[in-house]
Amino acid sequence: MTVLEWIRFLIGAALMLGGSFFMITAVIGNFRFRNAPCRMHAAGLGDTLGILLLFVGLLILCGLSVFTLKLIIIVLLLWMTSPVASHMIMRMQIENGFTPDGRKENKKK
Amino acid sequence: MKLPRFLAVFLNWVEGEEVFPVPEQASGPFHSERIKKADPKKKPQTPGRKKDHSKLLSALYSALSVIVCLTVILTLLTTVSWLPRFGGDHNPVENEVYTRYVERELEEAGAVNTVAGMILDYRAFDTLGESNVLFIAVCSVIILLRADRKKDGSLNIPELESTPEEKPDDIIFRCAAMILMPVGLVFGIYVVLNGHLSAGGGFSGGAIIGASMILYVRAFGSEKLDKVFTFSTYKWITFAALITYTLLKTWSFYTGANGLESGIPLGKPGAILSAGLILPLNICVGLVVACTMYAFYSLFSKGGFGNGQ
Repeated sequence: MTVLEWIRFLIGAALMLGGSFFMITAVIGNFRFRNAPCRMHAAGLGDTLGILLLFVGLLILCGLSVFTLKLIIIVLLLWMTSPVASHMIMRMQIENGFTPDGRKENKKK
Repeated sequence: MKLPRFLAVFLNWVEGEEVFPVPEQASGPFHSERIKKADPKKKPQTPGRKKDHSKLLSALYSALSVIVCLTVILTLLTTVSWLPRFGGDHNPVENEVYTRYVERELEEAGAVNTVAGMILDYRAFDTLGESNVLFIAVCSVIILLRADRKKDGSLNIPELESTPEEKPDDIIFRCAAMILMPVGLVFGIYVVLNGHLSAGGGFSGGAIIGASMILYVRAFGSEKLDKVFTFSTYKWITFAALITYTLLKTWSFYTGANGLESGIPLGKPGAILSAGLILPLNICVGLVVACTMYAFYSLFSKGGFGNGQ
């Protein structure tokens, strides 16, 4: 029994460490990159993969209860909102005449 | 004080400085035009007097900021050191207000959520003032930003009439809004109605409802909502909510202060229909907050809401 619990703890901890790694990557990327699309890419990575790994780790650590359902709903909501927000930001960038690397396009007419 | 070298390098790297040399031949759309950092040695020389002035100012600014920060930190630390120890023997335990709230709240106000009992029962006029502040803020914004109409119904500012409303024709955004908007509305209503039983209440639930309405308008345009939600609807909803709040709470305070029987049943703690007046007051506050959020959005984005007057 204890062996099984140790295995569960190790798997959960590894997943949460991976999620923390992605979140830290997202934070550093937000400061490090120079333009909106690159920063958005970094933040989107943290908001999807990092959140998923963190919450799956929490699920494994907590076990089955009502909170499992709540955690799954939170992940679903974040997965539905965050990529759409990134998509809209990128769309606005392109519609306002920015190239993917964040420079203003000089339209020669 | 000097930072260790690796730490300084790491901090500079996070700040965005090019710590490691970048090969100049890196090409492709994402590498070709790196923003080159201006070399500090090649700064265009400004006239000496002006440069000294700005330098002095920036030095003064940094010194002042350091002094202010240190003063605040020292003050806070001194205050903290004067606080009684946590769980100590000689702490002042005779805090009657909080004892009263914690011990008697359930039988006096009937709300399981003690915070709701405090803000909507003991301190209900404070919350009424907050709701009134929202109403007055929207009134001021209407005075300032509403686009005037001429007698024939056209806008006074022709540029507003000619620019079509920004409605991104985006299938991804629309699908997400279609799924999320009803969920948000239902969740907001749940938070308002459940405010006396769990965390939540009128302000947070109203904010969720208002955000769902804004999401709907962003995704699908405001033609359909404009037919329902006009200026007069807004006026009457807010007015009715505030008047209901005032009358209910005045009755409750009047009878309570004079030792009369108020006749408001407290119900069974834990049930939806319990906690006396807290549920209707929560609904009033939620209505005001939801309408205010939507009104702010539409006033700032297109100068009005509702068709016609």
